Amino acid sequence: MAARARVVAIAVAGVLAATIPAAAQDSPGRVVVTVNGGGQSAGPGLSDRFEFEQNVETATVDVQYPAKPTILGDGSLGFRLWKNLGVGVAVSYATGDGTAEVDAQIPHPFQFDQPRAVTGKQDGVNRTETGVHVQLQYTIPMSPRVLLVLSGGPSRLTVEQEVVTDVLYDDEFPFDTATFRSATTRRSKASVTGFHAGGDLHWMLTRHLGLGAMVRVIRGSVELTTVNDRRISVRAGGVQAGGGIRIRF
Amino acid sequence: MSVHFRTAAVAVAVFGVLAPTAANARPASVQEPRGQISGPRGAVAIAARSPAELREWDQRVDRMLRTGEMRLRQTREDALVPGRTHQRTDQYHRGVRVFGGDVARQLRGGATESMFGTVYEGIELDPEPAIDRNRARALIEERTGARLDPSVGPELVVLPLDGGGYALTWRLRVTTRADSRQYFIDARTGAAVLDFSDRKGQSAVGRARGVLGDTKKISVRPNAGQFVTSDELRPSSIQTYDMLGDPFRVEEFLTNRRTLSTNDLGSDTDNDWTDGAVGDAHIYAGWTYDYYFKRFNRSGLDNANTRVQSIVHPVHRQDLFTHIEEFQDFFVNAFYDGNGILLFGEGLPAGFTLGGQTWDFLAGAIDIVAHELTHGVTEFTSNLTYRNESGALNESFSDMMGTGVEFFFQQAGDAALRADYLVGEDAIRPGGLRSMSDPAAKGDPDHYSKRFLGSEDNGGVHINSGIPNQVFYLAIEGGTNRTSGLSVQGVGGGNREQIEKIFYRTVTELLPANATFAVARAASIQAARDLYGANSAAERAVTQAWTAVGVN
Repeated sequence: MAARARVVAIAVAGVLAATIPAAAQDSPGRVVVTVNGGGQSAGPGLSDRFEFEQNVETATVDVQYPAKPTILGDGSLGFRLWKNLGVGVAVSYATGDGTAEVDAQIPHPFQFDQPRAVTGKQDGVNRTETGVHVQLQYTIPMSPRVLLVLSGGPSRLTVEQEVVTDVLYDDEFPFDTATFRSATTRRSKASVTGFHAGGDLHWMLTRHLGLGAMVRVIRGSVELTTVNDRRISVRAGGVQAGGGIRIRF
Repeated sequence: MSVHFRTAAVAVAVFGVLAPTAANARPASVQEPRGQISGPRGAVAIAARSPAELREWDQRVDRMLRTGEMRLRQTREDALVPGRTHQRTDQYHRGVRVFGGDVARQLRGGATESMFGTVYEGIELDPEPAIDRNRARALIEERTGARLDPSVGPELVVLPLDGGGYALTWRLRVTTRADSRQYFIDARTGAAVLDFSDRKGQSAVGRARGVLGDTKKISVRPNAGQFVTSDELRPSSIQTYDMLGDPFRVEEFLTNRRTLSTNDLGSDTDNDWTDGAVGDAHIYAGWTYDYYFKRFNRSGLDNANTRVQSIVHPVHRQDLFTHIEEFQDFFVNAFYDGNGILLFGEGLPAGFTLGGQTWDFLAGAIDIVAHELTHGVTEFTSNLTYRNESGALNESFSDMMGTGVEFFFQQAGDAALRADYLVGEDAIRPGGLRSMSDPAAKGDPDHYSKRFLGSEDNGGVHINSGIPNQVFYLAIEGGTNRTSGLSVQGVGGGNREQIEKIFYRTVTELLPANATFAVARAASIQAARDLYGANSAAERAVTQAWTAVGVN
């Protein structure tokens, strides 16, 4: 992260050095670069249920994954093609950790139909979403310094979710109870093509440099592979909002 | 975790004592203390056999402690021998623990009394790892598929290699539902050096079809590609031997002329057991253990988890005519032979009856199994003499606990596999051997005035047991004794635990070996007061029940 921050700082400094003092912008440049930081809204909570054979019965494990807002990093590159129309590509990366809630029913080793309830929480369950968004852009000059760029198009979304694959528990004779020790997790990754739409407000401070704020709505649904090659459908995307710098040339 | 290595060292030490000139024994050099047996790869097992050897090793260990080659891990007082202290030390190589290098030193008043252990020589490793702890953890995560807690870091250890030499490794124990394994990752290359399971004892849970066709879980042990009836989940060792219808081997075992091995245990290839007698004997023995533990907080027959060995299939049913005279008990009896050994009869072939009843595998009745095991509890407690009234109390207590186990695990009812006050009804059909609710229905006395006074059956131990059996029944369920016409207000089936505990306390704590019915009456009333207070419903029920059967 430190290295990345250094690169951004150097780039910003370079651009600032190359800019001229603020002036009326009658004709925006053909190329625009945006760099944003922000957040992505919490999607719907993800739940999973898997089973395994234990003590000649079926154990069940229900897992609730967190629905928490995540930190967003975003950048885009756009080209004005004709009049106010342009195309662009944006890349977004959202990541966050949460706590998975595990609720398992573990069969008794000696008796049928006497499962032991095992509940617990597994911290640090990570989820990341990477989106590559191909955009058709339409720029609306709001004032000499302010532009609104509307965009939309297909998005390639990659979701990487840490999923619970096993439950470890402690029990001892007479085995009538069991307590949660931890959950085994692994990362599951899947991609899908969805779509997005959004707006980006540019406030140009100089001819080439400005600030901006963006909002983007992304929709998509991926199927993650969990225990025993079972697939669960996960809604990807959500509402992304952020702000950052705008560079036009 | 040095279980395996410590075990190996002890083995070497014993071997050294018996055969000090063994090929791998290295002569002690001037610098090396005597009383050591050098194994492969520089391992030296310490087993001082004389005061001089002990003194030399003592000095060497002290020197290692001073130089940091040894570090004290634990000091504790001897729990059995006053005045003794035990130290455990670990070997280190330039600050890194040597896996399996440790010494146990016994001190008496500050002087060393004994010393055993293993130290490793010739370690010339650079103790600086090339890969760090986090990388090692990541490698183990890749290998196991488990995500590991960052707060539990791998330990850097010197690992003595089986093929000789040493490796600087990161060691981490990883537990999954299936296993607990120790992983050793080379601290220079990241390669996996060693991993092994250190989960103590292997157990398996299977499915077993009982004598009556019911399905239950069975706790067994994997062994050589199959499963054997050795319960590894309960604290007590419960083993069930399938004698494959060989009564002569059974007799040799019972008369201490033969020991039984793993090969004699009941076995099954897929852990889906279809031999009802084997399965039921094994499972019901386990359930009886559970009952005693949960009901009375008792750990096995002797309250110290003594081993239980059950024998099934002591004969073949089809050998009835050739063996019935010599081995009658192996067909139509079940018995406790002392020291945790039980035998369950094979029953009779289809079409044969005894007393108008069919006899199935006797292990197929939970109350019969619990009855026999309870004889073990009695053996280790009051040891009621097995004749006359004390013998009848002995038998009755087994019936009580057998019935207690039955109600603990089965729903009340009259059908098969239902709890009732008949004894052995699931194997001896119809009606079982005895009735606690109506002893007279089976020809047994329900009142002291009708007690058997002959010498048969050890003075009627299986006959006069009907009298205290009736007390047990009336104290729980209430009702009227048929002979005296006296009524009893029982505690009710929902409170049966009270009466079970009263008689458990009576027999295991209060009764002498030669107790009579009158003493049992007084002792059980005392037990009721101890447990539930004077004038409690339980005391009243027990008192009324004894009075109803004519024991005052």
